Amino acid sequence: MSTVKNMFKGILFTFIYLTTTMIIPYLTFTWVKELSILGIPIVMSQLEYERILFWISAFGLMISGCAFFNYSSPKGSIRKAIFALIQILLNCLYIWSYKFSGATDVSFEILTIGDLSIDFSQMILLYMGIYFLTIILKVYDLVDFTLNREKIREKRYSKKGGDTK
Amino acid sequence: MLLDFLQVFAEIIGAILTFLKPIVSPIGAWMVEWIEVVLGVFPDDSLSIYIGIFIFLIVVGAIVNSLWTGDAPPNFLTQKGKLATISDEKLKEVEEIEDLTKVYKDDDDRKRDSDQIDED
Repeated sequence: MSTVKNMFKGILFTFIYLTTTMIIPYLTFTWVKELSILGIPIVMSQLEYERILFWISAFGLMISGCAFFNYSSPKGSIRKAIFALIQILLNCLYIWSYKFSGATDVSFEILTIGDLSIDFSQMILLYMGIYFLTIILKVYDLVDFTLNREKIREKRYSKKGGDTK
Repeated sequence: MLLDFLQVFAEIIGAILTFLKPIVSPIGAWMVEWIEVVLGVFPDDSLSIYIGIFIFLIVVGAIVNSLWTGDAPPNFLTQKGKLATISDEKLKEVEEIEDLTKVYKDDDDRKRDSDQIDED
């Protein structure tokens, strides 16, 4: 029963992460590329459009894989903590890959008006700072799960009426 | 209308950024440093490596988390426990045998002593 539950959770979160890290950004960038505001067509002059999609796909796949491992692992287990930490680190790389690939400084050319440039760098820098705090929390979880391994195990086994030794 | 909304939204975001900037931005800058180093290592020519990693994580995750679901002790721990119980039982048996041997030895000594006395 637990196997089914673990696998279901893993698959569910894999799909959630595949959607949020790959499908939605992919559709957004495709949409932005062919966007028109108030009937005025704008051309995305982002030369590295394919590069952005490459990094989105690359990190999206790795994050989703880690999400599967993370969410299908038992609660309070060391492997869950390790994969949660890896996932957060990959998330940082993913977010920063937007900047790295040029997606944080998107320039548009509005045909009848002129150029429009949107710079998300500061916002991403702020987001990185918040991610740092998340990393600290995940490291704390890992240490906690490692130090209290026996207690957590016993609690889990007793919950299910299993042998505690 | 849309422009007004965007203006208010931009001002709110701006206020939050200004408030948090002195605390969070330096940390963010440090994060950026190590991330740029790590990103340099990742291959950027083929997606197949990443697809491979994804499949590997799914397969390994499915195997590991099916075998060790977390609601019962893993097999190797159960076997270890069984072995510990068996070895405890064996140890007791050995101790009992040793005690018995000791008794026999004591008896032998006593007999030898009594024989000695008789001879004397």
